[in-house]
Amino acid sequence: MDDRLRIIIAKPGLDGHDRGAKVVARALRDAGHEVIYTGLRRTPEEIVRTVIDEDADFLGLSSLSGAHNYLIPKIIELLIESDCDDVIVFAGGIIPEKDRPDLFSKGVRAIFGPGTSSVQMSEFVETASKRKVESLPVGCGEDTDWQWN
Amino acid sequence: MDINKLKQGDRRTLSKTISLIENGEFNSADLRKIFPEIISGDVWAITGSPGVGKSCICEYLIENWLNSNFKVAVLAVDPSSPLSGGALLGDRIRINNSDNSDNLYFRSLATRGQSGAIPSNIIDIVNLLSALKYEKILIETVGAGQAEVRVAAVSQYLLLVEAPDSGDMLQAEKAGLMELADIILVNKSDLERANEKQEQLELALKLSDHIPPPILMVSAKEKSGFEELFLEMNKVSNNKKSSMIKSKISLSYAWESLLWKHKDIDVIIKKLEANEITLDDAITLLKEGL
Repeated sequence: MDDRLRIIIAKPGLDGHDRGAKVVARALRDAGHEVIYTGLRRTPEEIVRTVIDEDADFLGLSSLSGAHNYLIPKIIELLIESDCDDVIVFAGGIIPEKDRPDLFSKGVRAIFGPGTSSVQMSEFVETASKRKVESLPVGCGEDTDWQWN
Repeated sequence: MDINKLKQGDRRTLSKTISLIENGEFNSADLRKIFPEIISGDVWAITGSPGVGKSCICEYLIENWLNSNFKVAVLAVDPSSPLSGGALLGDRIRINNSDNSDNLYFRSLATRGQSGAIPSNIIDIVNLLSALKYEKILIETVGAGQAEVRVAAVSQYLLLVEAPDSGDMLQAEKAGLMELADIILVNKSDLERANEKQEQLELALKLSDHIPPPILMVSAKEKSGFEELFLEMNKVSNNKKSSMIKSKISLSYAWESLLWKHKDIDVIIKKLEANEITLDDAITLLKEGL
């Protein structure tokens, strides 16, 4: 099967909680994708280098430390600078409702909180990837209002 | 693919090209059209049972090469799930310096559908990295299994890692890995039973009739023994030897990748699955066509 995608799950910043990230990584693997987990406490620069080296289609950022409003836009900025504007970015962890519109407007295409089912997650990945195949804008640096609810 | 960007060593183009190779859309023949002359870098493979400490040792090897200003590439291989086809590639968690230098290219690879422990196109990937002037190429392969012998086919040098209590010796011997290794490392030398392990290994090697590789004791935990390892690695790579066993394995490996690229392979496998033909028939079909 060649609808296999390469997905990076990363933990930016000072945040020691990765149970959720590991569950997501496992679920996406079971959905048939190649998932690379970066481990804890990566800097935005390290995460972007990983995205480049691994030729990732998706980048999932898990944050439970409250620093999402700084770290996630910073990573997207670096991705765009490095010519990776087609990489699809999604986020998860503890991200309050009030912070979400801003993250969406900066290029995040989905935000998953506690209680998300793994089915939902792989549906997002498949839908977003279909958009990419159809050349519709969906990458973090591409101009679109599309987002996953 | 942008050939100019590839030639300039653009990392993203390199990554995209590796993906093309993985998908079977680009190979060494295509590569030679762009880079007529490829000088191979030093290709080291590191292998050993799960839990012996391969990743920790990789970390020190990478650090040492980077400190000597080499351009380093690491290919970390993990298995694909036979059920979903997916893979969890976790070497970056264990190799901490995997993402913090511009002189280091680090790529995780899944074994995908092929038999054996390394993806069948890894030779093409190694050639690509060599063409882009990566001087040290390190292949880390999944744990145990006789298929690991195949890593020897693509690497010039093989580092076999053992640890005290790391499973029984017979397994390593059966796999033929011990005969192929250029250096054998006993990691966790800080543990009590490490000396015992070294003695067992020496004994096992004495019984075979070829010149045994050096057995070195290291401790990744205490960071001891690595100076000796680096010296030994230099010695090994200055003394390029060819071996009949390696040539044999390379040949059977190349043969097998031809098999998987055979145009009728899917049909033949279906026929086998449905019990319509025997294995002998299948071989005849492969040789003579449907």
